[in-house]
Amino acid sequence: MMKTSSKNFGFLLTRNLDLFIILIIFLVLPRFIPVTFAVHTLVYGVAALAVNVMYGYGGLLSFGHALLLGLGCYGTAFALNYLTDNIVLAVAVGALLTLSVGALAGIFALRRRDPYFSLVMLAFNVFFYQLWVGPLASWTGSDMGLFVKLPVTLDKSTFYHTVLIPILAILLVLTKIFLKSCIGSLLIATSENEEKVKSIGHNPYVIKYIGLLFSSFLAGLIGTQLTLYLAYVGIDYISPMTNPILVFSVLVGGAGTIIGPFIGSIIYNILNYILLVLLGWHATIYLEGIIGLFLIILMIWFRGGLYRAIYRLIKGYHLPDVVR
Amino acid sequence: MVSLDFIVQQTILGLMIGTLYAVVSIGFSLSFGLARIINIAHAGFYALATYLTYTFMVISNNFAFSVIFASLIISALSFLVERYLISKIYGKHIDLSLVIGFGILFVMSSVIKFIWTPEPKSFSPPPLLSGQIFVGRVSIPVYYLFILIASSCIFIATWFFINKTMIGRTIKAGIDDLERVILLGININRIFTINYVFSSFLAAIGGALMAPLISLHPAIGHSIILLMFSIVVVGGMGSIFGTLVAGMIVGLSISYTAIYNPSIAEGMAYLLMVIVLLIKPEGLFKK
Repeated sequence: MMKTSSKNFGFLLTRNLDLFIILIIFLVLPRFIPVTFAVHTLVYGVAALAVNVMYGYGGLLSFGHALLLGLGCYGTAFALNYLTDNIVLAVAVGALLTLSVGALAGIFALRRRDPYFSLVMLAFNVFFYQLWVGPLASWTGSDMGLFVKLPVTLDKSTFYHTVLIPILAILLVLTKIFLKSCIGSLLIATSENEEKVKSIGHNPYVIKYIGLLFSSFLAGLIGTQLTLYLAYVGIDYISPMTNPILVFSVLVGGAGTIIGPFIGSIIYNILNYILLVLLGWHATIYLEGIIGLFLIILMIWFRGGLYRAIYRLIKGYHLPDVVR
Repeated sequence: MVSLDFIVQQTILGLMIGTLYAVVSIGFSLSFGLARIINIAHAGFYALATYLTYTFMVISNNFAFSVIFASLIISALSFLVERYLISKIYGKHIDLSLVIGFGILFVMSSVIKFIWTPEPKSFSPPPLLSGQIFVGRVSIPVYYLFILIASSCIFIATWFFINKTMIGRTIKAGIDDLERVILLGININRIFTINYVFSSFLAAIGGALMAPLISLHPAIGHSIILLMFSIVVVGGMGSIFGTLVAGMIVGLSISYTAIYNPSIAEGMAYLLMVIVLLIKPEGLFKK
């Protein structure tokens, strides 16, 4: 009896090694960088994972996921400031707001393939951003950001370890289940050959739509946690300028892998941290250029990403295009 | 209550600025139609051209010289970009061009921040083109009239280039059926290069003409991308006439929305694009 359970555990470990590696990395990360940076690494990592669900697995590059992340943040903030004192309810409101906007965007964005999806998502993002800084400015605080009245306040490090890490674990497991499920397989199939999926009797539009809904759920839920952590929402999170960071994270780490976006996010945030320490306020000038350079170099010469390169060094053979 | 004069004025201004948007978008439309790439770097060339015009205006105070010289520099730059970066991604997946385009755009806006600092800059049009003309009680800035004339000339020249020269006809044929053009033994890479440089030249001229109207800040490139994309979607890709009309429609929608709330004016253009994508995804003027 004992033997089988240990065998099961070993099986679980080897099959889900990437999840455990991510969790261990995030457990030790606050030892090296300030907790706020670690939280941002985690949040951008999960948001990049949401991009990756659409790009790496669904073949649809999105330049609008910052909208989903930001709506999660703002939804919770609105709920806590104007509606309720219940944190769980506020999180639900944030997630629901994200899901509904994701559902609305999906109706238009998924009509046509490649460039249309990315740019219609970007258009949605810019449209909401303009709403946020324009007509809704009295609600959203515009550039100044929005301070949130939290009913309970936790110590930053405690919050990180007791709330964020378990939520990360849950989201990772959910992602794994989603990708291994029938609909996840169909999503991957759609990215490879839409006609064949159609010919075996499935509707590619519905499959991509469900993928987008799951992706918005990921981004929105982690956005709500960011609000709870900071007790503040900045306009940066909903700004279209956050999108390149997410896409960069996916491409650096390796699209089509679960661990890739997190590697990318860690690299981005550590780069950001080092530049901030070295250059202070001027960092923003160089950061954009460095990200741009990386995007060009990655796309032309290293399309696989860092995770694939490391994997090849250790194991000696290539990872497939999609790792579930 | 908004007065009728104001609405008439907004209509005229919207149409005129729309032609300039159209000039900026033609190149985007051409490279989308011919080479099947989303040329986001186009917006970077546009932004760089506005700043170069600003600098040349400060140095020489000669507007014509500034516009032409800025456009020529941008064309040379775009040749290098095409040669060493864009040429590697022809025929590959369109996402590649999207990401590389954004990369180039970010590098350019970083360079702009580095050279010109992030503070907004502005300069006024030359004295000959400033001032206003009154038609009844409607006032039209002279510079807008100049824009209308200049864009019309550019459009006519582009039409001649595409329809009457051998290279232009090849570009047009390539938009219709690329494989057959290759089968005819035409060196398509050279056509791509010419198309790219020509597109960037138009973007640069559009940017240079736009520069006196707007306050220059490093993110102007980012804000023009979606505007160009909306125009191309509304007009249909690769169609010059469609781009012109779509530019005017988008200009009108922006200037009408600006009557009520300027901060969501550009959002209207995106809304228009989304509606067109729903009802006629191939564009309003595509045959």
